[in-house]
Amino acid sequence: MRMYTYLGTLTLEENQEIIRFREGSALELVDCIVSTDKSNNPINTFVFKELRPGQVPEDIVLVEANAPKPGNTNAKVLTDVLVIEKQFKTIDFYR
Amino acid sequence: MKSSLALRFIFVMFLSMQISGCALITGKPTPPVDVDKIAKKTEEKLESYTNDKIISAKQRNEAIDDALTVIDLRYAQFLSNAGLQQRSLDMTSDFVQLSLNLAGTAVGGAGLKTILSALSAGISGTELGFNKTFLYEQTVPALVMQMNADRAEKRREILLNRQKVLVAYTWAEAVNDLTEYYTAGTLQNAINSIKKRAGHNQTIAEEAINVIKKIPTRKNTTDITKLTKSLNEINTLDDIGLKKIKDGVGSISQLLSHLPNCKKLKTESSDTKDQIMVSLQECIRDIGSVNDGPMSIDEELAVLDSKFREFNLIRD
Repeated sequence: MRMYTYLGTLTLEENQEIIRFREGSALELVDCIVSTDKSNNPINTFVFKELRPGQVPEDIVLVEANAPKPGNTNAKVLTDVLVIEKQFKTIDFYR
Repeated sequence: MKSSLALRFIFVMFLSMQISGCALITGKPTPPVDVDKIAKKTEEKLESYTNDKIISAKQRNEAIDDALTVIDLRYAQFLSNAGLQQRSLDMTSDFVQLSLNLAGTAVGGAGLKTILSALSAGISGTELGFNKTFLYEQTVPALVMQMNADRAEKRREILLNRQKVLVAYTWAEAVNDLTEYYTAGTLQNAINSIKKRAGHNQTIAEEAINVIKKIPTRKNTTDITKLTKSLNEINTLDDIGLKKIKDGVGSISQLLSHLPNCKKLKTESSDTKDQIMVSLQECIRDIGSVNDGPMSIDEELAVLDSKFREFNLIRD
């Protein structure tokens, strides 16, 4: 497992890009953890499983929960809570 | 006797589920029995049980059954009580003291994990937007689930001990277990139980936490994906091509020495293609993860891109 943590001040688009970027190195998102750092800033920790070297998953698309399924995606793969721009949001993850 | 106990247990559990389930939504149906009346009668009976009066396993078991009935009825009543909502809200400050910052890493269910994380993040004085409705809707079901789980575990223990002879499981020991069974159905116990499981992982996780400041762009994602996919080319290389990589990784190690997995890059002549692929992939995974490094994400990617071209892994 690999974990990468980012501040909860980022936009949904930035978080999506972060996940895609990390998945671009043979990782696949499996979980998100909302918490705070030592200074009480909200943070999102993304947990990835390691894929075989050279493997890259299909592009992931993040939308707010219950929004319509984005085009060019097959199915919802995860629903979890993230802190987006300091606000809790329930997010659907599609591929 | 057994069938009577079983029936009583099923009835109480049914009642418990009915009441607790409805309490978590809105309102509740009228209980099919007068809980207070039954509980009062059994409680009076329980008060008469003392060590000197329990002289057989049968008597002990009857006393245990009575106690279980009262505890279950009271638990069901507790869950159905409208005050549960207020009580759980009043306990908000307890969550702060628990410092559940990374409890989410330690608990199993996604829902519960999220709730713990959210609670911690929300109550720690940040400007996060959360409200008491969110807190109630999310926490009470989670705490009830935890209480149910702890109660089920303790009940299982009691029922196992119930099969023992009196000297192996005295009434005094049974009372102790019954007290713990009662305690398992309290909010404070649910919080402590969650905290206990979370504590160890929390310490480790808090120490290891590194908030990454570098935010990748769309181009960075395209570039890192290209690097990763190019690793598949290693499988097509002959010995000469492979040697070129083995000889060249040392320079990556020097250029990207601020990235731990790149810094430790080195190959032995005996290394297999798979081993080389794994080492290079690990190095790629470090890109953009060190805040105080001397390079931007673009620069780190450029170093690897240049080297991968030298290795003939990228040809365009």
